[in-house]
Amino acid sequence: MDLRRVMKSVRAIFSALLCSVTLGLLTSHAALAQGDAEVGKTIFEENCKACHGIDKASVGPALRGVKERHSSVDWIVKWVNDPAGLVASGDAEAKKTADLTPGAMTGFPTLSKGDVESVLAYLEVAPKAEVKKAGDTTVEVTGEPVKQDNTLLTVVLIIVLVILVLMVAVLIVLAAAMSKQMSEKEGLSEEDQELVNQKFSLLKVVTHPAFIGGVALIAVWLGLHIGIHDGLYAIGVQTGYQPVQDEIHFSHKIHAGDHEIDCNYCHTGVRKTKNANIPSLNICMNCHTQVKTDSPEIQKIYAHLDYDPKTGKYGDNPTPIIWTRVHNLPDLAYFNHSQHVKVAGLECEECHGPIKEMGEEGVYQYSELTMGWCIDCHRSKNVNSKGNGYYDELAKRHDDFKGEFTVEEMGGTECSKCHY
Amino acid sequence: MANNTKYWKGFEELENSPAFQEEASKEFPEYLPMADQRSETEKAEDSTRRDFLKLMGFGVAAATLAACEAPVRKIVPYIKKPESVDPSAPNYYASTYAVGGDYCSVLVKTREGRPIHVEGNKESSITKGGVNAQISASVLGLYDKARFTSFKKGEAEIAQGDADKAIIAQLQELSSAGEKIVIVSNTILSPSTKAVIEEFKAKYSTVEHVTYDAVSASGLLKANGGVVPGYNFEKAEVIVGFNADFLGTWVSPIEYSKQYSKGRKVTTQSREMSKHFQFETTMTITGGSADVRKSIRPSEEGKFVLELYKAVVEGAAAKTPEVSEAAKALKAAKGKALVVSGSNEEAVQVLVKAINEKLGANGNTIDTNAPAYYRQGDDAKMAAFVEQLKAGQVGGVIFYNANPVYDYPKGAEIAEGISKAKLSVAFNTTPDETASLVQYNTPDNHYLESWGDAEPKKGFYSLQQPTISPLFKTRQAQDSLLVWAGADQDYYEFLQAYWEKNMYAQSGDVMFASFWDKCLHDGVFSGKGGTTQAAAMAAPVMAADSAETEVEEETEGEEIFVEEEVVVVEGAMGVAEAITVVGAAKAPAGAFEVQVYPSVAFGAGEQSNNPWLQEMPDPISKVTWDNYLAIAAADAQVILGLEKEEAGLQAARDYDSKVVSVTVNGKTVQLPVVVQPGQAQGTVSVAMGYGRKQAGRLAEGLFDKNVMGEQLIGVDVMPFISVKDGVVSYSTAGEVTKDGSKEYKLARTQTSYTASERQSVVQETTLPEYKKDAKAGQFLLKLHTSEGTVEATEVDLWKFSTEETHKHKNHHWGLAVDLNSCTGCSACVISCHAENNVPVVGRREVINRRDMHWMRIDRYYSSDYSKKGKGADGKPNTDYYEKLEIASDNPKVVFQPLMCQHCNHATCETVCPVAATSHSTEGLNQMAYNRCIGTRYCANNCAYKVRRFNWFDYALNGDKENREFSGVNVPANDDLGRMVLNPDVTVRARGVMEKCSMCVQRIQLGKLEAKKEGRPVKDGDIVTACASVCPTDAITFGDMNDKDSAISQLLGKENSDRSYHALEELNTQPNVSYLRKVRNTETEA
Repeated sequence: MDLRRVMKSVRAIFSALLCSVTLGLLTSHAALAQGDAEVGKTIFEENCKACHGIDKASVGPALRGVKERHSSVDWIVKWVNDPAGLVASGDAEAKKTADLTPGAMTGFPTLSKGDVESVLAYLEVAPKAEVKKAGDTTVEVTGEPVKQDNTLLTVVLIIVLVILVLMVAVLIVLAAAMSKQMSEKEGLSEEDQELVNQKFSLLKVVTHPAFIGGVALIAVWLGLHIGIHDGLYAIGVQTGYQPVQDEIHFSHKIHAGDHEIDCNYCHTGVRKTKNANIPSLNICMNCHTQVKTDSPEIQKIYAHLDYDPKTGKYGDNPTPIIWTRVHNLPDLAYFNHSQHVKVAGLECEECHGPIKEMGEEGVYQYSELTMGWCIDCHRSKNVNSKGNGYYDELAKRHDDFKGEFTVEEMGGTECSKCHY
Repeated sequence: MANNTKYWKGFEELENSPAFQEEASKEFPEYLPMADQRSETEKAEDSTRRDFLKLMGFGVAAATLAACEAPVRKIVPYIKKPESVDPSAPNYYASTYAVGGDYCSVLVKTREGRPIHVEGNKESSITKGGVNAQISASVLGLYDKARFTSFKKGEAEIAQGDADKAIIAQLQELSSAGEKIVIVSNTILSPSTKAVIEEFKAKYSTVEHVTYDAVSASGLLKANGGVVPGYNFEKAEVIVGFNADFLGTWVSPIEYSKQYSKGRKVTTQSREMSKHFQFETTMTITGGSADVRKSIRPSEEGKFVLELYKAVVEGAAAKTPEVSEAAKALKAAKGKALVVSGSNEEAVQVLVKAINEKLGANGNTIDTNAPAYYRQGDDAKMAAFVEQLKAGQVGGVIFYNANPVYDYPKGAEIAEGISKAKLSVAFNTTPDETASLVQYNTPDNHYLESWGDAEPKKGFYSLQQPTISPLFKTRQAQDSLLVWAGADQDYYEFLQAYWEKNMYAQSGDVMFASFWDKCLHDGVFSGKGGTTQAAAMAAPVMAADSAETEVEEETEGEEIFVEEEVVVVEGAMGVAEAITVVGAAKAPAGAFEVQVYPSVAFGAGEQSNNPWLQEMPDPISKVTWDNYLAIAAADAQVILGLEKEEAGLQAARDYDSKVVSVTVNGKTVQLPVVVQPGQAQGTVSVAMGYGRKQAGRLAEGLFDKNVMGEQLIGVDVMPFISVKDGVVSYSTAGEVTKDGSKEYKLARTQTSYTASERQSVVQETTLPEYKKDAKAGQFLLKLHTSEGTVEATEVDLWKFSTEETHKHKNHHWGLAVDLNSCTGCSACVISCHAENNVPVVGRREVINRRDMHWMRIDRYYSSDYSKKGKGADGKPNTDYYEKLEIASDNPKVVFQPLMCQHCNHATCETVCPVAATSHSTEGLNQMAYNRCIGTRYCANNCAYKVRRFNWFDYALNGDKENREFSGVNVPANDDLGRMVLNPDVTVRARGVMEKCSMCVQRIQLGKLEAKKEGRPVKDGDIVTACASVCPTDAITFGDMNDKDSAISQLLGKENSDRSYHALEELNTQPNVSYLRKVRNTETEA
């Protein structure tokens, strides 16, 4: 056995050990905290995440270390259940906490002490923001991976081309050398003589009907392919479509990126219904009665709502904001957000791309949104069937069930799944 | 030498007239098929070939250019999103349909705040989730452009406040002058509305409330103490009906259908069913479902009832075999028997009551604790009102959603009298025949925009809630009355207060708020204590109501009225008297008895502006867009001068109907003839509810005139109804004569009368046979092959057996249709229309056989002829093959709902050149519209003829309105009508094939809900539109892979012996199964 192989195995074993030790430490640490971090994560994401980051202040302050910042867990529970009431009761700590941010926190009277402890437990073990990015649940989207693929192809092609050119050159040199040697030789047969004396004429080659025919054929094929095949396939595909919004230059970068507001906070339908829903203005006003009230963009919201920021009163002549639609699926196709987000558990970025980096210039269409694009995914992806009673029932009906289905095996490429 | 000779093609060219020049300039001398439907000016603009080429060239270029850049689409979110509304998620609200005494507890589906579908409410113990065609279609009435958009004084719009001031001033004036103010309404089921009227009466002492019903049941009410007996057909083992179409139109058809169907269900384990005798004039769906049916003249009804009375009560022998048989069966089923009659004569109803009493129906098949209030009209009181109105004795008249000018027999007299009243107001929602004559129109909201309640039966309450804000500047009638009465409550508060006081007390709930919320959620509430004040009021005619009499007696100048009422109340007839009256009745003098009946689609014509209902084929005759004269074949021979068989065959095969003139009471109309098997000889029948002059724009939108050359839909036969001695009578003597050689095309969706002995289409058996063998009536074709005789299902064009071709591993959706339960009521057809955005195509296109119904109900009559028939020489009579199409004079009927059969070995799928139709792993035959190129091979190859082709753009295409169809296909063409479209279903464009999708949008939604909740799909979560409304539970939908689902049970252990596939020998292996019809008769059909 060679030494390298042995070393490799040793390293693998070592790293595996290291991993398990770290994991063990982490879990034991979590177990020490009162409350279940896993439960806490769910509660945090459903209730707190909309306004609070873990390490980054958003609408509310960052929550890591919140346990240490306050007097007791009991106080935190009281605060979470009824912040306004606590402030009103004259609690000094509450007053101080309330002054941290301009907006008042919504109370969560349904959260029990156990729930809050779980969240606190989660906050202790929650991965740091940087760590999270490298995690496998978040999709890394930087720039346009489609183009990266293209460059790879081009590089390969160039290399092949260079090799081919080199080979041709080598062959030419070889041929020249050989014919030179032949011509120097005496007593050649007539045939060979003719071959040696033959002059290479580029013109002759170029004007040869077979060559012209071949070139023409290639030109026509390329023309047809690029002009018609690719051209027709590109019709109606609006990848990169980035309309300038007429009214408000909303930045997803600020909201979803910098402040890490959960997509679901504004796009309320995304887990419930077909439409993700463009948020109604009352959702904006949850924060913007307090946040950035002077911004000219926010003033536009006030104008639409007929809201007077000075008095805090709403007039009776509100008008809706008219947005320009970015993602236009044709009417003949049925697409349901909740199916993909809630059931399949896809991240928004898988289809919408680096939405957290799209700023005031507006959102652009990241994916093709063509039928081929849909089908490709349905053919390759497995259904998120774990722990879902619906799929458990269907699994029983598949006599050849191997533990997972692709979407296609569930009938996900059939016409009437999307067209009716 | 040049030849100068010139030849002319004819004198026309020689003359070279302008007309000739015009003709010669045309490429095609004749018009294209659709051209003759256009107006003259449009014809002049007919396009030429060059125009066509120009347009095509431009079109191609434009399409190419347009395709390069997608249009910019806008999106507008809510300003403040309502908490309960999520765009694209449907919300359901329980509510109540109570219009003119027709009652149904409904579940309204709304999308983005718009009601789009009306289904039955399963919480109701009365209608139990059933709906009929009229109620299913009623949602379209909400989006009717004919509706009033504001209050009106004459033609001019008036502000609500101004109208109120003016009306209150006049009411006060009239009241203080002691002049009578009459509120005219149809039956009001709402106890709180009656309380509102009481409040109004309290304010204006001279107010009188007159109730009439367009289809009167006065006789029934008088014989039963002012109420409709609480019939329970479910408990009845023997049912006898006399001209009462209780499954289609009579009193409470949904409730009765539900009950009736329960007694008609058979399973392999329980092979018992009720026996139903029906005596009727024209063929109705009730008669079609009956086991024994006898055709009778309307005037004979009393005679047969009396005969039955004598046989049952007095034990006399009946002469008529059917009566004798019925009497025997009734007596044998004592306590489980029920007799009903549709007669409006008190004497007949008294006898029916006596028979029921004798049979021990009370407390069994008639729930004496829960009488019904569906009909409250008082013919005598109404007749008196008309006289007073004519005489100018009525100072003010308020029409409460009633249209007596059209639907009351003396409508013309009312029309005349309205102008004599100093104040006339109508709450009617459309400018109908009555509303167009009054001074003030203060339109009511549509019922889907209104609050309200109903007490259809004693102790059964039903709540109505708005499912959309009022679309127009209309106001609920109750609110108007409260405003005029000077009340400080609005009707919503009034209603809540009323329920708190009356219904809440019966509930035993702790908090009113939670009681109210529960009732709103459920839509219904059953009181424990039975009647309250509400019930007493719900039946004003029932016993002399002291309070009411007092009010009336205080009023001066009303003696006649009060006296008449007393006569009505105390005039309850004794049985002896009834026997005398019935015995003395004579057949009216005249060649024919003319019967006017309410149709299943329209009743008395309230919804005649509803295109869905107009295009719904009549369940029996399959005629759309027209009413017609139903006539017996024997009479057709005489009047039309045809051989009997010729009459039968012509009826079966032709759209062209002969036209006859019908004269009744000196009034003559022309009507197209339909030879109706089962029609009593010597009678003719015609449906009411047609020929409305002010129904709305549907009549104007049609390209065709009716048979009399009027721009109306059908012919108005309301003048044929007569009022005799204050009793409305729906049949009278009349003359029928052939109107020259005039012919009129009737738009019928089915022209075959019989199934021509094709047992592979419809199968039936009799109960005795079925008891012996559950497989009785099974028909399996045998084929002779080179390998011997085999079952037809063993021969297959497909290479593989089912196991290898289609494995339905996930779900396997299927439909089971019980032919024994289906009554042909057609609620499913309308529900399908609404759910799937099925276009309406209009009369002309139905004649062209281009109707678009995704599901139809085929009706087959039995024939006297048979292939087995032997000729005189004892050899098989080949003549009979042709005559198989002739229906019997009194045929047996079978209804077969037919939708796409979703074949596993589909004939359509194999021929589609572009694979636009394909099979899914869940057993559905899918149709991808955008893939379809319109070759129509699939429709050609479909054995069931259930595929429909879009010959034209029936819907608005972009902004382009298709003039040919915008008038009839209202739901997809005007901005208001389009609100009813189901956003989950594509509106199909021209040139594509469409068909039943088994409501795939509902399947997808149901599965998604299950996935989201992480549970398996529960049986009953997903229901197709047709199954969801069926009042007889004839259609069962479900997952055949789920062993416990209702459909698996039904097709498995319960009824596997009775199930079959239509055209099984083709081996298409449909996912739609039928359950064989079983008739409770001794002899074979």
